[in-house]
Amino acid sequence: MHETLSRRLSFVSAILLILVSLIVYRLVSLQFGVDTAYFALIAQSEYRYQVLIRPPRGEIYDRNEVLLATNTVEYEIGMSPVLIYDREGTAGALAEVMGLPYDELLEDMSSPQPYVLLVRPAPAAMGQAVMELNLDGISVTPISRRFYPHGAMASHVLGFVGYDDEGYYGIEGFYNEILKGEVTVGDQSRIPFEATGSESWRSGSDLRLTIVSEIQYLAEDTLARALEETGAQSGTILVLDPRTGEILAMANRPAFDPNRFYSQDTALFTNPAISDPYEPGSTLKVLTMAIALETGVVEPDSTYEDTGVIEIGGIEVYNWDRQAHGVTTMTDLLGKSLNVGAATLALRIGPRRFYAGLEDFGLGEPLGIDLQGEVGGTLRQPGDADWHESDLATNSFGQGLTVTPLQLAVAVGAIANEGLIVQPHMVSQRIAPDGTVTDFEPTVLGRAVSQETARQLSRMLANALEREASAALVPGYTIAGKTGTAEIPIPGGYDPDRTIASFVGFGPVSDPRFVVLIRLDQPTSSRWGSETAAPVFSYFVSRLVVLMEIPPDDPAALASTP
Amino acid sequence: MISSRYLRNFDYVLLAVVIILIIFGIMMIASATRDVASLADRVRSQILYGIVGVGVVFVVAAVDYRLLTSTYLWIYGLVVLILAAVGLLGTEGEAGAQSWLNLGVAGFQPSELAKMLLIIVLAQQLANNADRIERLSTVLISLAFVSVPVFFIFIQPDLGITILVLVVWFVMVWAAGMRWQHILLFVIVALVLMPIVWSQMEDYQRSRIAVFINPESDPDAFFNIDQAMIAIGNGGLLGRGYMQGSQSQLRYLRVRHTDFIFAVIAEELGFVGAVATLLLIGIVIFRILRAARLAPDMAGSLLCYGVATVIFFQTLVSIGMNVRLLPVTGLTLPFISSGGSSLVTLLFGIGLVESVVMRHDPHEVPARISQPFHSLRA
Repeated sequence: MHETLSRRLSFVSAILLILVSLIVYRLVSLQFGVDTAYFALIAQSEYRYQVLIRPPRGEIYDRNEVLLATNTVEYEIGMSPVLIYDREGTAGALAEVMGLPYDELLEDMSSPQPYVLLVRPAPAAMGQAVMELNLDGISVTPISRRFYPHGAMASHVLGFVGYDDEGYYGIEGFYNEILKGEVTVGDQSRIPFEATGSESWRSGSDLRLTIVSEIQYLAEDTLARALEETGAQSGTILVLDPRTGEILAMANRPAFDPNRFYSQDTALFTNPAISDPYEPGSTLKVLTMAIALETGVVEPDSTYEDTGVIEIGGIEVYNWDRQAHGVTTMTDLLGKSLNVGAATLALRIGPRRFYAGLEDFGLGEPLGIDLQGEVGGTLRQPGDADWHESDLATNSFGQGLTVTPLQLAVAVGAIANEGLIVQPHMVSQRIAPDGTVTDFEPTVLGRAVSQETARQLSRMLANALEREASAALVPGYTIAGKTGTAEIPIPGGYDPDRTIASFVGFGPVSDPRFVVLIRLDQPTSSRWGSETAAPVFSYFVSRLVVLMEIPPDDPAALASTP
Repeated sequence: MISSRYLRNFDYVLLAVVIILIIFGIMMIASATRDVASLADRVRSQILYGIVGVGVVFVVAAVDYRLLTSTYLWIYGLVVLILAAVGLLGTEGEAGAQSWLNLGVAGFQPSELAKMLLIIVLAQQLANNADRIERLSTVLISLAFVSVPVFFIFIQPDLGITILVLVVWFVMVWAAGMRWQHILLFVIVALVLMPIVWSQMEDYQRSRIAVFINPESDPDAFFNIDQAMIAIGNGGLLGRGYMQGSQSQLRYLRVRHTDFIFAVIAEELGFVGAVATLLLIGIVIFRILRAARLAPDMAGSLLCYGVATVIFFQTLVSIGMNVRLLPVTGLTLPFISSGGSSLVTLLFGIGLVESVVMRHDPHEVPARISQPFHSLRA
């Protein structure tokens, strides 16, 4: 009997060992066998699939660290029906938190699909509430959304971020790569604490712009009032610092809300200040005069005989008032804005020097501002197929060529900056994720005119405004500037009823701190820049000097004002 | 009441290894249930049941097992009564089976307790008939004896424990000396009965077997087995690290804290962790077989065989199912899987073993396993 039992115990032990060996063999084949790589791959594909690491996009601030663009989180809520085993409980909890119908949730859970999308985008509160439920089979994926706390303010400067997480237009478009950082594919795990090589991805840099929110707001507010008062359809106000090329404000109307880019007219996305060239009209006489002084064809105290008409290349040029003004000073040429005078100067300068001069002022090519979508205006030159001799005359008073508001402001800025053209720019500082700050250095593109010419012309422009008692004048400050009224070209000529009224000026003349360009498209209260844009300039600058804390430089003028 | 000899004989190695397994289990449950609100109390309750269970070991060990085996008919009656009651009063458990009795605060699985009590019953029943064991009638009577409670477990339905109790019976009858011819007969009968059992099985039980034989037949049921395979295959030699298994932590594995705890171990602690687990359970089994050898009488010896069988079979089936060697049955990994009833019951079994081994005479260490049987009959 005990022999049997003894043998049986051995037999049981043998079976036991065989079964255990079988398990160990199975473990070995599973964990070290040929399938190991396959299992690892499947596991990886399960916990690493579809993972695209998008580091947080850099934020955008104004010059004084007012937040202009930041990121908020919204969520995508979905479920994997196969992973849910308490269907009623899960559906009940979700129905309560998400406000979805219980029955529909239950129905979705019997779907054979591996993933069922429930809500996208879900607001942060809902996403977090669902996340806190911590339900098996329910996934809550954060999606980053760009948020512009000031809505439409500076929208043309900022641009927007599309559904594809790419920036479009403005700063978002131009600095897209810098803002979005390095997007890495695949090297992310959803396992807590697992090392994912997170050091390898790079966050986006923050940007500090040159614009000042208060000035930007003032510009937008002024523009909105101006459009209402003058009946203009659209407009631009541009403010820059002539010494550094920093844009202090860039306002356009109509604008758009970058938070809701998807529901806006796409035509609104382009920034007219840099992308919409127009015929500048009389404001260009500033440049014609500058070139005339620089080339020495006239002196500040020169005069010319205004006969009211001049013929160039087969066309006759008249003054805006169709009058002959007789012996006229250079200052009065500017003050009265005489086309005959400008054409006379252009003739004396000659085409070669005239166009070289305009190019020195930055016309005909984009200036390279750090915003997406900048264009250069058209500047036909001798040698071009469509250039005509008469263009020399019309160009001299701003017809037959186009500039963007930015180009004109920068060109006039050179007069304020002792003749130097400075590249306009929007970003003052770039702050890398590690805290490294890169400051922007002003770039001088070249010299447009000599220091002497710039100073002479500044005084002439200031005197011209004074003498004409321009509506652009600002009590207490010496202002240099020029109005412009450009008829809008239509096929076969110009539309006499529709104009672009503008004013470009700078101040204080003794130490220029700002260049301001006002452009109003198709004002209805008056067709003249002197009656529409000039008062807007005055209104705007009188408030701008307060914001910029610029002391008055003309106490006499201040005292004479009631 | 307990002499110093008994305390000397107490198998401290056995208890120590068991406690190590329980602590290890609690750690793995912590990893498997991390961040899951609905499972938040699993770790705490496992600690509680572990402490209670170790207490049970000492209490049961203190009681002479012969006191229990001598009342085996009472115990038998109690087991049948409880199992019958489950059919009428039971509440639905996680798997949908009516295998839980709601006893006040904590639900208790009577079939878990029943399996251990049936070992006591069978040990004495077979010891009483040991000298007639070579007769088929004796074996059949014993089978009939065990069939009543098994029937109630089967209709709950709990296929896992049904098979477990039958296996325990088979091993114990075999250990008691059943003839080879009879064993063969039972194998043949089992094969014949299989289609009948199949027809009586619940749908979920059938689908488990169908899925095992042809995994693609039900992608939903196959999913979990597949996830377990991926988890284990993903572990490698040293695993992905504690609390870092992708399958386990990301909840691809369902019931990972109970049925699939081994997959979690294999993924997070790798081959080394899996084999260490096997080794520790192996030590427990061999310590119990040692107790069986040392037992002062046949009932004690059979008692130990029964407990060893339960632990071995549960381990085999649980791991076998994790590595897709066996169909999914819902048996838990002894001492490690989350579950109070299972843990306390197993520790009750360990208590029985300790009770047996404490009462052997160290001066009469039997060289051969058969000696106590022989002396019993003398």
